[in-house]
Amino acid sequence: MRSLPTTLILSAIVGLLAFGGVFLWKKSQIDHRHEHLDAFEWFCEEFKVDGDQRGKIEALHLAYFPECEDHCVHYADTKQTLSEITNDPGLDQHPEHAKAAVELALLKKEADKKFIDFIYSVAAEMDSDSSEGYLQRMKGWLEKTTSIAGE
Amino acid sequence: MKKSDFDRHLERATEQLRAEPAVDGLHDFERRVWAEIALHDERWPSRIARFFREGLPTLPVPAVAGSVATALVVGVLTALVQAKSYGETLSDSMEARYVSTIHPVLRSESEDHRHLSPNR
Repeated sequence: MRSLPTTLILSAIVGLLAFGGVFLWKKSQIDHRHEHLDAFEWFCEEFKVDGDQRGKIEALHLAYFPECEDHCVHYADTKQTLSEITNDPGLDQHPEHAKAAVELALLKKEADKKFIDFIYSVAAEMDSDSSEGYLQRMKGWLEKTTSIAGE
Repeated sequence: MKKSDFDRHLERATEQLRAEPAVDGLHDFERRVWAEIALHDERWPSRIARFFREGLPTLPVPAVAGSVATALVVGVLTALVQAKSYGETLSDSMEARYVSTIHPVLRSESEDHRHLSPNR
Protein backbone atom coordinates (compact mmCIF):
# COMPACT_ATOMS: atom_id res chain seq x y z
CA MET A 1 0.00 0.00 0.00
CA ARG A 2 1.27 3.46 -0.91
CA SER A 3 -0.38 6.82 -0.44
CA LEU A 4 -1.55 8.71 -3.52
CA PRO A 5 1.10 11.48 -3.33
CA THR A 6 3.91 8.95 -2.94
CA THR A 7 2.61 7.06 -5.95
CA LEU A 8 2.34 10.24 -8.02
CA ILE A 9 5.83 11.39 -7.08
CA LEU A 10 7.29 7.94 -7.79
CA SER A 11 5.51 7.79 -11.16
CA ALA A 12 6.67 11.30 -12.11
CA ILE A 13 10.29 10.45 -11.25
CA VAL A 14 10.16 7.20 -13.24
CA GLY A 15 8.48 8.96 -16.21
CA LEU A 16 11.03 11.80 -16.24
CA LEU A 17 13.96 9.41 -15.96
CA ALA A 18 12.57 7.28 -18.81
CA PHE A 19 12.04 10.40 -20.95
CA GLY A 20 15.50 11.78 -20.25
CA GLY A 21 17.27 8.48 -20.76
CA VAL A 22 15.56 7.53 -24.01
CA PHE A 23 15.69 11.06 -25.47
CA LEU A 24 19.40 11.49 -24.77
CA TRP A 25 20.15 8.03 -26.16
CA LYS A 26 18.23 8.68 -29.39
CA LYS A 27 19.65 12.23 -29.68
CA SER A 28 23.21 10.96 -29.41
CA GLN A 29 22.47 8.39 -32.14
CA ILE A 30 20.97 11.07 -34.42
CA ASP A 31 23.83 13.52 -33.74
CA HIS A 32 26.42 10.85 -34.39
CA ARG A 33 24.77 9.91 -37.69
CA HIS A 34 24.53 13.53 -38.88
CA GLU A 35 28.05 14.43 -37.78
CA HIS A 36 29.47 12.02 -40.33
CA LEU A 37 27.01 12.85 -43.08
CA ASP A 38 27.79 15.30 -45.86
CA ALA A 39 25.08 16.86 -48.01
CA PHE A 40 25.36 14.32 -50.82
CA GLU A 41 25.31 11.37 -48.43
CA TRP A 42 22.24 12.86 -46.78
CA PHE A 43 20.60 13.04 -50.23
CA CYS A 44 21.45 9.37 -50.94
CA GLU A 45 20.15 8.25 -47.57
CA GLU A 46 17.01 10.38 -47.66
CA PHE A 47 15.99 9.30 -51.17
CA LYS A 48 17.29 5.73 -50.95
CA VAL A 49 19.89 6.09 -53.68
CA ASP A 50 22.56 3.41 -53.81
CA GLY A 51 24.57 1.16 -56.10
CA ASP A 52 24.79 2.15 -59.78
CA GLN A 53 22.26 4.92 -59.29
CA ARG A 54 24.51 6.54 -56.72
CA GLY A 55 27.50 6.51 -59.09
CA LYS A 56 25.53 8.06 -61.95
CA ILE A 57 23.91 10.69 -59.75
CA GLU A 58 27.18 11.58 -58.07
CA ALA A 59 28.71 12.09 -61.52
CA LEU A 60 25.80 14.41 -62.41
CA HIS A 61 26.40 16.42 -59.23
CA LEU A 62 30.14 16.67 -59.81
CA ALA A 63 29.61 17.81 -63.40
CA TYR A 64 27.08 20.43 -62.30
CA PHE A 65 29.00 21.96 -59.36
CA PRO A 66 31.45 24.13 -61.37
CA GLU A 67 28.62 25.54 -63.49
CA CYS A 68 26.58 26.22 -60.34
CA GLU A 69 29.56 27.83 -58.64
CA ASP A 70 30.23 30.15 -61.62
CA HIS A 71 26.63 31.24 -61.64
CA CYS A 72 26.71 31.68 -57.89
CA VAL A 73 29.75 33.99 -58.09
CA HIS A 74 28.18 36.00 -60.91
CA TYR A 75 24.94 36.33 -58.95
CA ALA A 76 26.74 37.35 -55.73
CA ASP A 77 28.82 39.99 -57.59
CA THR A 78 25.76 41.47 -59.28
CA LYS A 79 23.90 41.55 -55.99
CA GLN A 80 26.83 43.31 -54.35
CA THR A 81 26.96 45.87 -57.18
CA LEU A 82 23.24 46.52 -56.90
CA SER A 83 23.56 46.91 -53.14
CA GLU A 84 26.38 49.48 -53.55
CA ILE A 85 24.39 51.44 -56.14
CA THR A 86 21.30 51.37 -53.91
CA ASN A 87 23.27 52.66 -50.94
CA ASP A 88 24.92 55.45 -52.92
CA PRO A 89 22.64 58.52 -52.96
CA GLY A 90 24.52 59.90 -55.96
CA LEU A 91 23.51 56.92 -58.08
CA ASP A 92 19.81 57.12 -57.27
CA GLN A 93 17.73 57.02 -60.48
CA HIS A 94 20.96 56.28 -62.37
CA PRO A 95 20.56 53.96 -65.41
CA GLU A 96 23.15 51.65 -63.81
CA HIS A 97 20.71 51.03 -60.98
CA ALA A 98 17.97 49.74 -63.26
CA LYS A 99 20.51 47.81 -65.32
CA ALA A 100 21.89 45.99 -62.26
CA ALA A 101 18.38 45.21 -60.98
CA VAL A 102 17.35 43.75 -64.33
CA GLU A 103 20.55 41.74 -64.55
CA LEU A 104 20.01 40.34 -61.06
CA ALA A 105 16.44 39.33 -61.90
CA LEU A 106 17.64 37.61 -65.06
CA LEU A 107 20.35 35.79 -63.14
CA LYS A 108 17.79 34.61 -60.59
CA LYS A 109 15.58 33.34 -63.40
CA GLU A 110 18.53 31.61 -65.01
CA ALA A 111 19.54 30.09 -61.65
CA ASP A 112 16.05 28.67 -61.22
CA LYS A 113 16.18 27.22 -64.72
CA LYS A 114 19.56 25.60 -64.09
CA PHE A 115 18.28 24.25 -60.79
CA ILE A 116 15.13 22.80 -62.37
CA ASP A 117 17.06 21.26 -65.27
CA PHE A 118 19.49 19.73 -62.80
CA ILE A 119 16.91 18.24 -60.43
CA TYR A 120 15.04 16.72 -63.37
CA SER A 121 18.25 15.18 -64.68
CA VAL A 122 18.88 13.71 -61.22
CA ALA A 123 15.29 12.54 -60.83
CA ALA A 124 15.53 10.74 -64.19
CA GLU A 125 18.16 8.44 -62.66
CA MET A 126 16.11 7.67 -59.55
CA ASP A 127 13.30 5.19 -58.84
CA SER A 128 9.88 6.59 -59.66
CA ASP A 129 8.75 6.87 -56.02
CA SER A 130 11.97 8.49 -54.88
CA SER A 131 12.13 10.84 -57.86
CA GLU A 132 8.59 12.07 -57.21
CA GLY A 133 9.42 12.86 -53.59
CA TYR A 134 12.72 14.46 -54.58
CA LEU A 135 11.15 16.73 -57.20
CA GLN A 136 8.36 17.73 -54.85
CA ARG A 137 10.76 18.72 -52.08
CA MET A 138 13.22 20.49 -54.35
CA LYS A 139 10.46 22.49 -56.06
CA GLY A 140 9.46 23.69 -52.61
CA TRP A 141 12.79 25.51 -52.48
CA LEU A 142 12.03 27.60 -55.56
CA GLU A 143 9.64 29.77 -53.57
CA LYS A 144 12.16 30.13 -50.78
CA THR A 145 14.90 31.22 -53.20
CA THR A 146 12.50 33.81 -54.65
CA SER A 147 11.89 35.26 -51.19
CA ILE A 148 15.63 35.19 -50.40
CA ALA A 149 16.43 36.90 -53.70
CA GLY A 150 13.83 39.58 -52.93
CA GLU A 151 15.46 40.50 -49.62
CA MET B 1 1.24 17.81 35.17
CA LYS B 2 3.63 18.77 32.41
CA LYS B 3 2.22 19.87 29.05
CA SER B 4 3.78 16.95 27.18
CA ASP B 5 2.30 14.49 29.72
CA PHE B 6 -1.06 16.11 29.29
CA ASP B 7 -0.84 15.73 25.49
CA ARG B 8 0.20 12.11 25.82
CA HIS B 9 -2.67 11.31 28.17
CA LEU B 10 -5.13 13.10 25.97
CA GLU B 11 -3.95 11.26 22.88
CA ARG B 12 -4.11 7.91 24.63
CA ALA B 13 -7.60 8.64 25.92
CA THR B 14 -8.74 9.71 22.47
CA GLU B 15 -7.36 6.56 20.88
CA GLN B 16 -9.07 4.51 23.55
CA LEU B 17 -12.35 6.25 22.95
CA ARG B 18 -12.08 5.59 19.23
CA ALA B 19 -10.99 1.99 19.54
CA GLU B 20 -13.40 0.69 22.15
CA PRO B 21 -17.00 0.47 21.04
CA ALA B 22 -18.41 0.81 24.57
CA VAL B 23 -16.36 2.53 27.21
CA ASP B 24 -17.73 1.98 30.67
CA GLY B 25 -19.81 4.81 31.90
CA LEU B 26 -20.09 6.52 28.50
CA HIS B 27 -23.03 6.37 26.21
CA ASP B 28 -22.66 6.58 22.43
CA PHE B 29 -23.55 10.23 22.36
CA GLU B 30 -21.02 11.12 25.09
CA ARG B 31 -18.32 9.08 23.40
CA ARG B 32 -18.86 10.92 20.16
CA VAL B 33 -18.80 14.24 21.99
CA TRP B 34 -15.51 13.34 23.66
CA ALA B 35 -14.09 12.24 20.34
CA GLU B 36 -15.09 15.56 18.76
CA ILE B 37 -13.58 17.48 21.67
CA ALA B 38 -10.36 15.53 21.33
CA LEU B 39 -10.19 16.27 17.59
CA HIS B 40 -10.84 19.96 18.13
CA ASP B 41 -8.15 20.09 20.79
CA GLU B 42 -5.51 18.71 18.46
CA ARG B 43 -2.71 21.14 17.62
CA TRP B 44 -2.49 22.15 13.95
CA PRO B 45 0.83 20.38 13.19
CA SER B 46 -0.54 17.11 14.45
CA ARG B 47 -3.77 17.73 12.54
CA ILE B 48 -1.76 18.19 9.29
CA ALA B 49 0.32 15.13 10.11
CA ARG B 50 -2.87 13.14 10.71
CA PHE B 51 -4.24 14.35 7.33
CA PHE B 52 -1.18 13.09 5.49
CA ARG B 53 -1.11 9.88 7.55
CA GLU B 54 -4.74 8.95 7.43
CA GLY B 55 -6.67 11.46 5.33
CA LEU B 56 -5.17 10.69 1.95
CA PRO B 57 -6.32 7.70 -0.04
CA THR B 58 -3.92 4.79 -0.27
CA LEU B 59 -3.49 2.62 -3.33
CA PRO B 60 -2.91 -1.13 -3.48
CA VAL B 61 0.42 -2.39 -4.83
CA PRO B 62 -0.94 -3.38 -8.30
CA ALA B 63 -2.34 0.13 -8.75
CA VAL B 64 1.00 1.64 -7.76
CA ALA B 65 2.81 -0.69 -10.17
CA GLY B 66 0.32 0.19 -12.91
CA SER B 67 0.81 3.90 -12.34
CA VAL B 68 4.60 3.60 -12.46
CA ALA B 69 4.43 1.41 -15.58
CA THR B 70 2.13 3.92 -17.29
CA ALA B 71 4.52 6.76 -16.44
CA LEU B 72 7.38 4.69 -17.83
CA VAL B 73 5.56 4.02 -21.12
CA VAL B 74 4.43 7.65 -21.46
CA GLY B 75 7.99 8.84 -20.76
CA VAL B 76 9.48 6.51 -23.37
CA LEU B 77 6.87 7.34 -26.02
CA THR B 78 7.20 11.08 -25.45
CA ALA B 79 10.99 10.79 -25.71
CA LEU B 80 10.66 8.88 -29.01
CA VAL B 81 8.30 11.52 -30.45
CA GLN B 82 10.62 14.34 -29.33
CA ALA B 83 13.66 12.53 -30.74
CA LYS B 84 11.84 12.06 -34.07
CA SER B 85 11.04 15.75 -34.17
CA TYR B 86 14.67 16.58 -33.36
CA GLY B 87 15.82 14.25 -36.17
CA GLU B 88 13.45 15.93 -38.62
CA THR B 89 14.83 19.34 -37.68
CA LEU B 90 18.37 18.12 -38.33
CA SER B 91 17.24 16.51 -41.58
CA ASP B 92 15.70 19.84 -42.67
CA SER B 93 18.98 21.60 -42.03
CA MET B 94 20.79 18.91 -44.04
CA GLU B 95 18.29 19.44 -46.86
CA ALA B 96 19.00 23.18 -46.79
CA ARG B 97 22.71 22.41 -46.92
CA TYR B 98 22.19 20.08 -49.88
CA VAL B 99 20.08 22.62 -51.80
CA SER B 100 22.65 25.32 -51.11
CA THR B 101 25.11 23.21 -53.11
CA ILE B 102 22.88 22.99 -56.19
CA HIS B 103 21.01 26.30 -56.35
CA PRO B 104 23.21 29.30 -57.27
CA VAL B 105 21.11 31.81 -55.30
CA LEU B 106 21.20 29.76 -52.12
CA ARG B 107 24.82 28.98 -52.70
CA SER B 108 25.63 32.68 -52.91
CA GLU B 109 23.78 33.21 -49.62
CA SER B 110 25.80 30.59 -47.78
CA GLU B 111 28.76 32.23 -46.07
CA ASP B 112 31.29 29.67 -47.26
CA HIS B 113 30.18 29.44 -50.89
CA ARG B 114 33.62 30.35 -52.15
CA HIS B 115 35.14 27.50 -50.22
CA LEU B 116 32.40 24.96 -50.83
CA SER B 117 33.69 21.57 -51.81
CA PRO B 118 31.45 19.56 -54.14
CA ASN B 119 30.31 17.12 -51.49
CA ARG B 120 29.89 19.63 -48.72
